[in-house]
Amino acid sequence: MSNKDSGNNNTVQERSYGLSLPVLLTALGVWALYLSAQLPDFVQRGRQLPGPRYFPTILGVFFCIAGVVELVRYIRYRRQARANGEVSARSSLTRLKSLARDWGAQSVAVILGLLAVLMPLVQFVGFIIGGVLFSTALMLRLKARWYNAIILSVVVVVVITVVFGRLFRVPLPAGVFGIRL
Amino acid sequence: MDVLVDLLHPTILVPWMLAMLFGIFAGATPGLTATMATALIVPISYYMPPVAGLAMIIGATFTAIFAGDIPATFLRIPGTPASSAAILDGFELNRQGKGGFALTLDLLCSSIGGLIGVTVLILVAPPLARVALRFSSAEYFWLGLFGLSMSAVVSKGNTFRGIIAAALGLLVSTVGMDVTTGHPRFTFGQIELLSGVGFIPAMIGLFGLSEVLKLASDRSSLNAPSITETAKISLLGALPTVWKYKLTVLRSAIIGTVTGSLPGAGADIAAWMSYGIAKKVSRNPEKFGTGSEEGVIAPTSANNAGLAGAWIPALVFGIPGDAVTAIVVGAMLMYGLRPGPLIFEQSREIVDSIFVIAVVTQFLLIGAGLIGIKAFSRILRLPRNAVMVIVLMFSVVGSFALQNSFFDVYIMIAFGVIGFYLEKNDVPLPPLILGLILGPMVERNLRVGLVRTGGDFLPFLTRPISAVLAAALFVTLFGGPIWSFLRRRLLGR
Repeated sequence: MSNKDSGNNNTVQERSYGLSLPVLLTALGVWALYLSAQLPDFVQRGRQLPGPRYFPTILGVFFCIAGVVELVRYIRYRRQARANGEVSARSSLTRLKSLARDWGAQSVAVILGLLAVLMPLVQFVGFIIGGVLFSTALMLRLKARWYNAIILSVVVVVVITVVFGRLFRVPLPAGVFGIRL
Repeated sequence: MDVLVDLLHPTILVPWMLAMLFGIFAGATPGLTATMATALIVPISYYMPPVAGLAMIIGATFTAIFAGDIPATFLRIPGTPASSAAILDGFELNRQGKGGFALTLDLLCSSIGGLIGVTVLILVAPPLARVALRFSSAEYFWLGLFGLSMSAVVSKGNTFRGIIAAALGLLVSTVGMDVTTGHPRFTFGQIELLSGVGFIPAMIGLFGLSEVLKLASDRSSLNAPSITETAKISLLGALPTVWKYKLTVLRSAIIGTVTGSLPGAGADIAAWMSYGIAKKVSRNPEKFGTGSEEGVIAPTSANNAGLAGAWIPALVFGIPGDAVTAIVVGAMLMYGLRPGPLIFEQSREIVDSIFVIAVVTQFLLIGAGLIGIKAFSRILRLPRNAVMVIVLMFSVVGSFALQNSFFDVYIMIAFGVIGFYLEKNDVPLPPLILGLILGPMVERNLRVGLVRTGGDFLPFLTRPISAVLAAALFVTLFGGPIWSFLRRRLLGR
């Protein structure tokens, strides 16, 4: 894993041994067990046999155990880091604020935001217009010159429309304007 | 000889080569798969004579399987599931500026692996198919777990996190209708989830979108090209490396063929098993994952050989070895051929043609592959931000195209976020996708086996082949730590 990432000052070790992973794993395990308990039994000729809940239950138990293991590793890492004087003095709130200001983290949020908007946009205006708008916005965010962004966006959308729309006959949305190639 | 002369006639050779170029394009494009390439070729081949049609189908499938390694090496996005193992060292070599070399090596090994696989197919199809018939639920269960354990052990990061990734994939694979009772599991009322989470959009999200998110967070290199020069391709330059690791090529191809001959196993497991075994027996196992040539050779030899192996149960029993050969069996029925034990007597000429086509395809693969590598590497000289947008657009449309569904695009986005988070926390991604693919096979065989034995797990351990596979799994997961512990004890004394 590279040390050079989104520019926040966490070290590789800190990220590898964060608290979020054990918490999420344990939560996932508990959630899987809870949902599995609601699945029906499988009884055949009066004998209980492995049914729909069997495999997810095994996995739920595994994730609970994995969460505990990762928590133990995290605690061990923190103790060792404290003993070596390596633990960052920043509080979690400070780290979150730093992350929110970080350009890289903002770019990730922008990409996900644009993707969330893309689907309704494409359904409304069609793939050609929606795709060009999406690609252009994304390229501008990623520091491309505005004319490069527009040219490339148009080329990419046309190529995709020809390949998928014409060659593979995938019905790409035409939107309210009914624009197709 | 007559068969070969007939095959080289332009009416067969031209569509054959065009289909191979199509296979390169489909395999190298994230969102299009070898299965899709094959499915799209079949209706076109219907209008051709049987031999020409089979040549098109066989040509497209072998090139598509190789071509999946091109984006895996250049972009860390496997073009097909069977190429996910190629990421481990191929992409690392690309980062070192040796992407062209990695792919040339890949191409040669795919060709040689395919040749070995086809040779095995020709020589030992009936006896191999008899061994495959002895595999029951218990054996398939352990085989699936063994394949997963391999991917967990050989992936970057520690083994436990690889196991976590594999378990995540297994959990996601339980989404959908339960195979035995038909009861929906974890669908949350979504009709689209009744057939489960599609592994193609998940794969595109995990490897494609997550990589784009990772690159987007590094501002400094956005306007730099993804690769600084068009890939240097030198077949003669790669040959000494192939010769140096000739045993790895041979071993991987045989592993690939045998694994591929097991129905449902496929080239995905073949590639991972081969990689894991190569790492275990290598003199330099520490180099795997950092740009090891052996790490490129092992999976790439195995996945093309695995495709040849999948033809064994398909021809001999009419049981397809994987999704691609399932389509091929359908195409053979379309031509009036009856795959099964009698095909060797009733349609000997066609079978001989299939064998010769498969052999010649491995040589033609080199030409088609070189064209694909060159074309792809030219595209990648664009600035990184442009490549990211291209990848993202193809990922979105590729996910949509599978079932004409926006839901698959949402799946792709969700897995992109999951992949981004997991990699930030040093959890490898390849075991997750393998868990998603193998999960149904592992669960189904576990439950069917337990139903047969009345809930008793002991037969899973006492059947001979099961016992061997279970032992192999144990050694894979715990052999290293136990050995280290024993060595420390012995050295300590």
